[in-house]
Amino acid sequence: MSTPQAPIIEAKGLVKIFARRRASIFAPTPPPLRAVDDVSFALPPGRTLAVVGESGCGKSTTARMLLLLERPDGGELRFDGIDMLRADAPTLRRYRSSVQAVFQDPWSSLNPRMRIGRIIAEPLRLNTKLDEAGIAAKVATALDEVGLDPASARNFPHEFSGGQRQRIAIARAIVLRPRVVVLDEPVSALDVSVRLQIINLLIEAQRRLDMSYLLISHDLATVRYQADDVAVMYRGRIVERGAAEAVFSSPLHPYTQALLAAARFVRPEDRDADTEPVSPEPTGEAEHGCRFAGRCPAVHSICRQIEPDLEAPLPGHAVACHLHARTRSSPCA
Amino acid sequence: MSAATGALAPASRRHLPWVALIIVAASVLIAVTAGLIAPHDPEAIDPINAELPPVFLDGGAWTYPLGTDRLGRDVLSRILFGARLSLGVAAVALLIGGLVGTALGVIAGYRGGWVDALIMRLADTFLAFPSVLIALVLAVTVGPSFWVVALVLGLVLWARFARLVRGEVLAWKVRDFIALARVAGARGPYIAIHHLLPNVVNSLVVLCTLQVGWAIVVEASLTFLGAGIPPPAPTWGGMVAEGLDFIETAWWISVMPGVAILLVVFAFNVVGDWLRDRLDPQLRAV
Amino acid sequence: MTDAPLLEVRDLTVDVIGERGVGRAVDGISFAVNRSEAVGLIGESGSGKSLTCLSLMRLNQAPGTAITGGVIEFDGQDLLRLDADAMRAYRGRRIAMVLQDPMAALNPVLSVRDQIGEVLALHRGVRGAAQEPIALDLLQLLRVPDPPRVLRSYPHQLSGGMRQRVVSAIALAGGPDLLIADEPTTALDVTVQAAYLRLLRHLQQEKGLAILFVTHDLGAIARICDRVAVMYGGRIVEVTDVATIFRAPQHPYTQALLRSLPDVDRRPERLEPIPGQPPSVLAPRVGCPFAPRCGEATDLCRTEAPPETLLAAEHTVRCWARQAT
Repeated sequence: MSTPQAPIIEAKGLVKIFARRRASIFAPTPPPLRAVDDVSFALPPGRTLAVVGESGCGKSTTARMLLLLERPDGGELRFDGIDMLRADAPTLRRYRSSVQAVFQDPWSSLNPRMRIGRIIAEPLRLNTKLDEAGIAAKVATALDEVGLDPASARNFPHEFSGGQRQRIAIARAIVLRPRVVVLDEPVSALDVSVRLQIINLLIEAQRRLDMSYLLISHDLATVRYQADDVAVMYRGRIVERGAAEAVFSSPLHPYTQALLAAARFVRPEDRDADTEPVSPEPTGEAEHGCRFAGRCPAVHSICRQIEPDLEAPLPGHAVACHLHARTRSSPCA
Repeated sequence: MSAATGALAPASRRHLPWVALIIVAASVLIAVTAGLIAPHDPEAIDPINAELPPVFLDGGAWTYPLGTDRLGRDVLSRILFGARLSLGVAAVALLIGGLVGTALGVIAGYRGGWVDALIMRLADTFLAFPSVLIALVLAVTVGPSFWVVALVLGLVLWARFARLVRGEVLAWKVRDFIALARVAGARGPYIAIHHLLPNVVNSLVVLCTLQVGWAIVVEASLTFLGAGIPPPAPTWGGMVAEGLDFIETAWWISVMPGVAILLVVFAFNVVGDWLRDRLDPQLRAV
Repeated sequence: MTDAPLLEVRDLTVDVIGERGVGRAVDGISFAVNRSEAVGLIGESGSGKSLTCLSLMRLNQAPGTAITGGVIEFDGQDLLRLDADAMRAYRGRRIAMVLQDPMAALNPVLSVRDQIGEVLALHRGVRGAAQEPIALDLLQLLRVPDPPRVLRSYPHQLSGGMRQRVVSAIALAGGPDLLIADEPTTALDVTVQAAYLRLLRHLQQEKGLAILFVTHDLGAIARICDRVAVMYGGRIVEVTDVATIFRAPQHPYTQALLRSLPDVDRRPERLEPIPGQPPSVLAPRVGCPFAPRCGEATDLCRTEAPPETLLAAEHTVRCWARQAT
């Protein structure tokens, strides 16, 4: 399963900085926000890498940089070894036709004025020289692949339910046979009873078409079901990264542990024994050091001074935490 | 309960849009076919029959159903041809203003930044111009004409269109389908034509309809002041102005075209409001 | 708990009038919330759960919805028979509500102190300086760190989790007996969700607050509810205690829903989804609403709505395939 293959996409030290607005006209301008700060990961062929974290952790910004919708302020984005941030137009065109996306809100991702057939055909028209018949055939195939009647090509988006619309969005994403699909919270806007249909559809499409997924999600249960590798982000940084199995069964970072504890199904019989793992609010804003220090139950003095690097105490399982630093024998140094 | 407001609304509210729609359709039809349906040449003088009252008053005759003016020209025929000029000016002005304003509005909304700032400040400037004054200046320097009036109206209209379209584009461009089009490799002009414009069309139709009334009133005012379409062309504003001196003896010369202005402007506004409610509830503030 | 329930809903029917016809969004549902009990109302969008909530507060002003039948008895009084003034004495005072989006529930230009003070003045006649200690106590009760600072804050200065606690403090300021919480955790981060749920449970256990917790999240239900009502297509299809709903659910919808939920502690090879789509509110209502997606459906299910069947004490289900014999 984990045979080391050359990654399709490799992000190296991605940085995105946003200017922040003042809270009111009298307030001082806050310092710029490092929404994504030194984020690196590799996306191997045919696998699913999940980037998980809570709102504002930078996971969606990371996805948007991968899709070239946001320009990174630093770092590299390598596609087959070539940095896309410094690439020429033909290379970029090849990249764009190889990387597609499915977004969270199926009401927002389909143009209400376009028929389904045109929506799905758009990537083909922009990236191929197919004639009308060829396009129609590919659209019909794509609709069939996502479990919809090819005749729906004639309908408008408002005629479909949320789950069906998400199927249409997937059909559009796979019609070019991309090598990578970015899935930004692909099921969180859907009804609970429909979510699994869509997840299974994505998994089956991945196996059949040999695509890599970058899955952005806050839902850890779904991530465990779908992902091969996981990167946990907290306030712009990856704090833990590794094979999903390893991260879920033996999380190293206290934040990952807290996330898992919060997402765990607590049986009604056990709920009153369940204790609060981390404080939901940081106590004091730290200027330096680990970003999680303010909420961490295992915080040490060094955590408030030096930001830990992402290091791998175990092969293939990296964590940014002084508790697990290899070079320092004692975290209380 | 208040649930079924649509079905339980008073009959007047339900029928008004249809009456207005018929008036609008009729006025457009008249403007197009004025030459075929007018009983007389609108500029033909008949001094013997000057200031003849309408048919429903004593001394009226079916030859001149709405009477004649001081030169004996048929008021009805002049109103019918006036529709052609009034609506024609409005149409040309809307075409100029609509095209320029929509294009600039899309560019401002989609590009943002300094381009947006520049275009919108320009629009503000044009909205602040006293259009009547410009028309008067142009009438004096270039001479009054159909095209001067259309141009003056267009100068104001483009800014209104640009504002509306920019606002709509700002709302649409954050939708995910725009981002997905970019992911698929689409560029600005493609996105503007295929994704933004089709979603703005409803609002454009509504704005056009609402601005027809404004254009007709302003054109009539300009003509009334002598800065509009020069005589002897039969325009509603001009007819009202000419008749004013005779308002006590031959009131129909002024009142008949006045009623035409009122009816058509009112009808266009009602239809515009109705379209707005049906097509685009977000547009209430315009 | 031998006395009458605090809230009893019988045969509540709510219609929605859309552009394309009339739909029965809530179709004759009945349930009860006892004093100091936490009841979960679970369902997905379009199941009618939110409309039920709004109806309890008589707040269904959404254009085109109308309560067309039933009884909502709160502490012996039928709320549907009250006039608007009398209803206002219940709303906020005896029944409070917390909604999904805390930012929408807060007035951005008023401080937390002013917003709590408003409720104290309106419902408890407490004015001026006397409000301060009560407001501080409320924030303390909701485990808000540094209450004096938060009291002076404006909504935009607080995090999402803190906002939801402040909204809850405002809701509790009137001293209600029943708190209706409609998806209060959906907009919150997971780690914040868990803490908020623990807090609600604490309020219910220690302060005797009755809670009607409306959600689509079974995990949240497990963390705080005593009993659960499952809604589907405008009907309550199953009611039972919280342990049974997870251990031995009976309605095919509940069973399928539980089977289709991924678990953060396990990675099964494949989970079986529920086929099909949830019914549209405007769709005509014939038979059981779940029949088109149900593996056990028969012709009877498709033509006739199943009656409520009592399977065991405190366990009712509406399903033709689960008839007690």
